[in-house]
Amino acid sequence: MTTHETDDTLERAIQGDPDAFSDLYECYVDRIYNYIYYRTGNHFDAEDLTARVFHRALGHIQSYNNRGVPFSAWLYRIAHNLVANWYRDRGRRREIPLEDYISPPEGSEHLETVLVKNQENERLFSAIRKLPMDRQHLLVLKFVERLSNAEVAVIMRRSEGAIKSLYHRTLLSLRSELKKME
Amino acid sequence: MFETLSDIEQQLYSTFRQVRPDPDYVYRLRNRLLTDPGVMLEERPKMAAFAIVSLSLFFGVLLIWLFRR
Repeated sequence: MTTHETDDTLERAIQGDPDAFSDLYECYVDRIYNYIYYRTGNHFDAEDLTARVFHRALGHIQSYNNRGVPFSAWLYRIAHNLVANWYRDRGRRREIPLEDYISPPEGSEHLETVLVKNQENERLFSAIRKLPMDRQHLLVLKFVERLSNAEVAVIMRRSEGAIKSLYHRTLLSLRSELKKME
Repeated sequence: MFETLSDIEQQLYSTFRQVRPDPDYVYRLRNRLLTDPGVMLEERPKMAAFAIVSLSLFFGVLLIWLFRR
């Protein structure tokens, strides 16, 4: 969907056109699901919270203001708030199945290479889990969602410069944590 | 192994992967969004609330009067 099409669809969805909302849903459901999955660590809660995001979006789309904040950022903010409530209400720690995080090995790779890579990944994720929530949030948006610093800044309600700085500090923390593990 | 920050970035890029929701779930959720009327909270009629409060007060006062006799 191009930007122009999205704007047109969005305008129709705000006017209450269910087909337009359906198109927006199709366009964003995978991204929102993906984001929530990496924040909660399981498919069950990802499905539950994704459904809540779109129910809330449908219920409040008439109050969505198109100025300044892209629709995707608006959805991510809803998702972020719901995930934050999910953590607060249940007092849960992140339980992320490593095998779901780690990319499957290439068929031609030697077993030893695969094992070394998996060990590296395991160390990396142990280090990520020790980061504060906002830094984990940033990593998911950058590396899973592949968003630019400018897009992340809109979602996290910070300036682009602040995101660049946070990202740099996050990488430094990761490196320091990984060195401790060696 | 992770000597530089770009080594870590490369590792993050190669390790994280996209996950896809179950297509059945996506289909069912879309139908629910477009067909369900949603949860509606029924407003209690104001007259009924007024009657309940009035009756409670009346019986309260009546009980106090009976105990005092």
